Amino acid sequence: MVLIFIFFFLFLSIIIALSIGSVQIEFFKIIAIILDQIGFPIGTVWTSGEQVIILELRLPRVLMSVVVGAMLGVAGVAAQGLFRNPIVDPYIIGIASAAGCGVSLCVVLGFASLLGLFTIPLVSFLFAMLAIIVIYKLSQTRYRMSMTVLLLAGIAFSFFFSAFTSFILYFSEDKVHYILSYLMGSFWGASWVDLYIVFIVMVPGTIILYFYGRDLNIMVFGDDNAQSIGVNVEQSKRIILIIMTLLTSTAVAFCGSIGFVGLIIPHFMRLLVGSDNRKLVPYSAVGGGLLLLWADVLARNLISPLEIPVGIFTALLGGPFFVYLVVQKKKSGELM
Amino acid sequence: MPIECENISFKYWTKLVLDDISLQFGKGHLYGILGPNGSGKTTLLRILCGILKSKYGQVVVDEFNIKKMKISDIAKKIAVVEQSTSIDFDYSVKEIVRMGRYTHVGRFSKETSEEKKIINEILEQFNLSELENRGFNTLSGGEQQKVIIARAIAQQSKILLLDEPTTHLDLNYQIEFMERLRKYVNDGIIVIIVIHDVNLATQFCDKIVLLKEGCVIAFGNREEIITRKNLKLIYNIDVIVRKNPFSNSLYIIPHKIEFPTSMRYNNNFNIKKIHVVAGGGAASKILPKLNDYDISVGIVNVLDDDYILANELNYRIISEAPFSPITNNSSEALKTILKNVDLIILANIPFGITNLKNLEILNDSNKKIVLFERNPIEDRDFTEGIATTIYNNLKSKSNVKTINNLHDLFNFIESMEE
Repeated sequence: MVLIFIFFFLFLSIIIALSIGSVQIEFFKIIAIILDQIGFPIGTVWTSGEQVIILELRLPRVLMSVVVGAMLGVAGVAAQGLFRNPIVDPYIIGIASAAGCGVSLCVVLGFASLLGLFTIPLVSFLFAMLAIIVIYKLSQTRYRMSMTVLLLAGIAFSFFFSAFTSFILYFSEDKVHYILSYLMGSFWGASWVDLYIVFIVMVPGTIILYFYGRDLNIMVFGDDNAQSIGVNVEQSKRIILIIMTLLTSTAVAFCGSIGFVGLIIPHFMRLLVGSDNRKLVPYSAVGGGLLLLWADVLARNLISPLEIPVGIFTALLGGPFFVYLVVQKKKSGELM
Repeated sequence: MPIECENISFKYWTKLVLDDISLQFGKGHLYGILGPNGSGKTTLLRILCGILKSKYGQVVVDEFNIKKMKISDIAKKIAVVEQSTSIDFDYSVKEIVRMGRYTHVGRFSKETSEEKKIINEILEQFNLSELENRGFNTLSGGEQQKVIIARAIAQQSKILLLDEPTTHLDLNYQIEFMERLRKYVNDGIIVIIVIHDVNLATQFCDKIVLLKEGCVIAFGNREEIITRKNLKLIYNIDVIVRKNPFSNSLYIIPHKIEFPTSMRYNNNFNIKKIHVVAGGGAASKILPKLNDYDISVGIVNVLDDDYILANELNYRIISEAPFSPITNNSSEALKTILKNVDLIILANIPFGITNLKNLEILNDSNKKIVLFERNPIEDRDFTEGIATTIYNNLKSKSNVKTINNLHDLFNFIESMEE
């Protein structure tokens, strides 16, 4: 019921977000353009300029922010469940910093458009995967994949890659702005092709994770307990880790490292619907989408025509809101 | 046998934790695994449920080798409750009990009404229905334990393994809990628990495994296993094993840490021989402290408290059938013993017709005698003055000393050594 409500809210938000921008376009025109596109022509009441703005500029960007938000929210649920720790996010094992390092290197060396538009996504995805594979190998012990080693190695890698990125930034005066805007994350220039790719990763990832929600729930008791309840712990961990890595590195590849969503959204949703991961996964998907959608609206309109990287906004919005939430919980006595 | 292990050995790196263990567990019994810290109890339990895999030997469950079973199939046969449970995300009681149904509900299928019924039944059985929406982390230790057990029961497995389940429970919960386990045993579930409370184990477990340094010291019915000798062997402590008169179960009382035997016997050929005239529990505080001497006790009736105690302590006893007067045979035996002793202690015992002979024999002895006197003889004379007359005569003799408290008594005994 609540899920239907927030789905409706998400839909409404998308329409509103589409109407906001340097060019004012009325609601009915937006709905008409969309209806026309999906096969219900109701007579042309818009200009071709408006159609281009909605269909080629705003719609892919708005949808991109929703899909990437959903990915990061879901990946956050996976990360927190996997590490049994409410204060980790999907970037903790070095995905974002490895990708950032790869992109920085690529830009500085002048390969940024070697493979056309997909150079940056490809490089960042490859670097993220490389880091994860090394960390994954490191964390294998005699019987189990050690989540502690995974976490520690991830943090170490994170620092290493961040340091390397800083090093590159320090010596690349002319490209600093370009690299920084990638590192902070934005939806600038999102295209339909980007959207399709991200969507194709997001949907199955979320669905699979939903079906592994029960495993994640039980794993809260630790590997041995989970195994004695019947969970094939090693297999489940591997699958969940792969899904998390795919979701996160795809998001990072197209939009840079947008922070805070993966940390705050699962947390926020847990306060709303409880710890059951089968609820958390869909709720966090929608919640993450909503958060990034509105953060992006602000990012592109607040000091229009200038754009602020959206990652800055997620942190600016999410931080105080979360503190508010914790204070509320504390008052009602649910938090000690 | 539903679950057995054959020649199990297990190493953590190079340290041998379990050494060639073969055990069989059958229906209708509550098994207790006892042993000192580091004896391999928990490791054994974890091997039995397949969490740890041993290179040597095998665990067989319902005629399947556990190493070849799927994890979900093991969980359908064996449920485990591990030592400590803490969770970082709070789940409700009902959610946790539902987790136990993991293998019964397919990954892609929805929970049926049948499933819901089972979960509600289990919640009710554990009196958790009222708590079902409470967060696990807000519960007390006893309640949390209950929820975890309920989760294990929800697995509906035929074998239940528990690792020190009573550690965090109050005394009343411990008893309630162990009784619940007995009920499961009666329902046909095999229950195996690792436990460190020997008394709780002997009270509720009917079969006991004693482990020490990774080896099985003894395995069998509790009456055969819980003996002074076995407990001394594994805990290196002297205990007294008694029968609880109310429940008829065994219980133990630890009383002294064992000194190396060399101190007691090998280097000392001059061990003092002491005879204690005991009865009615009057010597219960004296006897255990005399471990370092060569002690004889008597004449006491069989089943007298002092008889049982002396028996536990492996002292030499001159005894008489319950409630019967002292016969000539035992009188002669006592006289013979008294010829060779260094000291005779007469405990603060009451005198009746049955044991009056003790006093008469003492009266004839010229050995050093200590009268341990807590109450005047008149108060414990049930022979219409005969005992008092002999006692007072005894008291006036030059080889007799009267002592009123334990402290002086032990000092006196020690001073004899020099």
